[in-house]
Amino acid sequence: MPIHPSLIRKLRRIVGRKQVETGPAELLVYESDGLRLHTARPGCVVYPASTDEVSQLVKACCQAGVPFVPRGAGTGLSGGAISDGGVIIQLSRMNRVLAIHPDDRYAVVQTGVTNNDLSLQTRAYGLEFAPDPSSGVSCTIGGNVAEDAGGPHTLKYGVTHNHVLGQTVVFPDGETATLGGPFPVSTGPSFSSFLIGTEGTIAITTEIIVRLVPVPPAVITMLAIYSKVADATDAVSGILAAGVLPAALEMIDNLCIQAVEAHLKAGFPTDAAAVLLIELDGEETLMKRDAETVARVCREQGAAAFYTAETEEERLRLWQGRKHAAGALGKITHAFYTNDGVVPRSRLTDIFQAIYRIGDEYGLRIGNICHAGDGVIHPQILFDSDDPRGSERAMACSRDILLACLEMGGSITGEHGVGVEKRGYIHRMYSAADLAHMIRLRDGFNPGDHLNPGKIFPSDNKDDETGSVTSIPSGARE
Amino acid sequence: MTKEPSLTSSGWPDPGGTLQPRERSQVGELIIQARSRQVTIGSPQATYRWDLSRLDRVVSFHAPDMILTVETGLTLNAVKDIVEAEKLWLPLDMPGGGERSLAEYLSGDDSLSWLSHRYGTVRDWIVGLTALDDRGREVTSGARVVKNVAGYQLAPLYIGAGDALGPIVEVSFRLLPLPVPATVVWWQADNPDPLVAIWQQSRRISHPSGRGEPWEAFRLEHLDGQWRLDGLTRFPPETAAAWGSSAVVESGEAVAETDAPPREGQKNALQSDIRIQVFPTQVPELLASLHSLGVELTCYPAAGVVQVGRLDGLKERSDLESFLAAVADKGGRVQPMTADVPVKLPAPTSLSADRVLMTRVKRILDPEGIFGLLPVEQW
Repeated sequence: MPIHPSLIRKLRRIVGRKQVETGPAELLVYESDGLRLHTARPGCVVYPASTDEVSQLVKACCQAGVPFVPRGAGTGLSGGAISDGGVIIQLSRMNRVLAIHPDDRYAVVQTGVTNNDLSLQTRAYGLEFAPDPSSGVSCTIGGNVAEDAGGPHTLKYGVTHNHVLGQTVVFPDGETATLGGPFPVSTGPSFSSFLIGTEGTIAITTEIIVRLVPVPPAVITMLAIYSKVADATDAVSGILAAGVLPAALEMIDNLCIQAVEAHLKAGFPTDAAAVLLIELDGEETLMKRDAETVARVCREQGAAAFYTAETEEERLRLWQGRKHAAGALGKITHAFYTNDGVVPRSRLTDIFQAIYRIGDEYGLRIGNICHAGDGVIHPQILFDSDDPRGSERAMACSRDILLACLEMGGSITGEHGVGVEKRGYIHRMYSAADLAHMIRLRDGFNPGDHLNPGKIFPSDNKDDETGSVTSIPSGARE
Repeated sequence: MTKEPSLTSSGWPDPGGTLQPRERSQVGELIIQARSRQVTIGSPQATYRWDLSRLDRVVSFHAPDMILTVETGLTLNAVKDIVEAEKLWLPLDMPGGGERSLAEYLSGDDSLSWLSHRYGTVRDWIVGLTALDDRGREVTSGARVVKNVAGYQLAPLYIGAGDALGPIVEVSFRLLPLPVPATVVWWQADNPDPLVAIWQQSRRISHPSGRGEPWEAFRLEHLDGQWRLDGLTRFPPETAAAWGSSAVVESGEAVAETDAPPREGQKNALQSDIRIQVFPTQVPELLASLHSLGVELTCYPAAGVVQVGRLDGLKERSDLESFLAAVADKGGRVQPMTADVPVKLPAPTSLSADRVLMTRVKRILDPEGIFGLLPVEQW
């Protein structure tokens, strides 16, 4: 149902005529986020430039009873920033770094600042914002907050909630609040911390106070090459058991290696079953000792070869190979579906066996990118987009992988969020009482579910797109 | 069910007593009974408080996963012993030497230590949490894995809420590999200035040509008339001692201690009454003022935190009260750490947005107030 012209007029009065899009061609961009398999057409898109404008927009939408969805760069991978007929509040104009306080090590940013832009500015002071999702070039800090984003270096540095000190938010009734504060540590309950990872279902974040940490003085990046995936995953446990905490501990398997080498030539041997990319950072003396330990463990666990990047150029090339591994798959397939699950670290070997078996059962090729140190897996399920049932089979394959993660004591999402993609599985992770408790909180702050409706929790009244459940579990609503 | 000597005819202790469930299922039963009896259990203002010390099971621990799930009756020291036996580490130090139960630490609001600036506070290490809701049902959020973003994470709401949203009965911690033994270097002086200068010098970032930050934590103390700065590093003692002697020390000497540093509470003799929080850049001025007032204190300078104690012996309390009011006026945070602080603290002009929202959370999750008042409602 189109949005009533009177609301469109109201929105234009708030943000200006040119800052509201209603044309089908313009709306096309907003039909999906990074998860292209879930699409929905919004009624319009508005581009506010301030917290006050966001507040006014929200009030206008509420009065009209029209749902609204905050959106950053649209790089999310769980369909968290799409709206079926509602208003997309596109926050990309709010892209200023408002202040950097190097001596007190924090910065204040608007929600639409990208990780990359923030890092460029803070690195001048020898400081950085630690979370580094692979989409850091374009993803926004507001998006990081919504999803509690991680990235390869969170093994050592933690995720977004460990690095956000405070935020300014707009609630679904248009009220604004500034939460937390710039002091380096806080104790006690924190509503600001609670909001991180709620996927924009309780409030819209418009400004963020982030902690800055010193850029490590030195880095060592190593590559271990394996002819068996199981040896690589065993080495992951071995490194940590040896008392080494790498800044990053990543794995990619053969299919992704093939794609990377066809596209980027990062230097990964194409006959390897898997490679581990291991990065240490910190003080040089301490790192050298750890690097020796890592090399020894990797060899003991059957590494066919082990290299250390000798130059910054080599190091960056290895990281390019890792960070663009998913994109490189586009060179060998027309379509692929990115899964995001977690297992306890000791079950990595088991989950990879399960992934390959499930892929075989569906007749689908799967390449794997993995934050191995965290137990986070990102199987990339390749499918034929010309096959009318191709995407359906890929999603079914993804479902089986997630169920395998849960059977192994893991989670359905490590960093991409639930969004619409996985809302049909959340009841497999939590009991009806658990979900009821969470939904009480959502309904308490977002009555009527006008803000980002239908995300995280299964809907009451319509079939779930994933097909795994058709309604909210009995008892999950009071 | 209770350790209180004085019981009513119904088997419940007299009001003001403590409820000590033997097992998890009893926690929910007691909540249901409390509802029917129209009494409150939980927060410091409730009719009854919890003592969960008998809920002390290790629920799951597989060292290679670096995740420990325990009931909250275990003491922090017991948790540390369990993980350190497997060469793992939970980088938390707590007041009281870790002898209190996790439930007490999680309920309260005093978990800062000298490790907090580098490693965060307790909520940074909890990946999963189980509490009881107002109907006596267990509710869980999070998971027993390092990373998980499925659903809402309740830990930031429940930790420090004084059991006023419900008792926390189980938590999962993520752990780190046990690091190499730490070295502690300390300096002593008769005033804070040279010690602050050492800390400031250490904080200067000279990257990329310099060595960055070799220090993991600093603690500055004024106890028994002596000022002392402790610096914690993972470098070996001989290296650290060399930095110590080359540092700017106007009075005092640098000594390298080779043993692992004692846990915070085992070492720290100061029972703090007040916590002051400012920006790290404001710490030198704050310490100079507190030095002139003669108060005893523990300071975590990188965190901008100063904890003041032993105020009973302070002669000029009004000077401290004026000073604290001035700190609050300039945007610093002043909060009590005990129920009966012997000086008057500045009254907050308004409740912070966080506290207002926490009261809203309280109304949502416990509309009948079965768990008593939120501690923040009293501030």
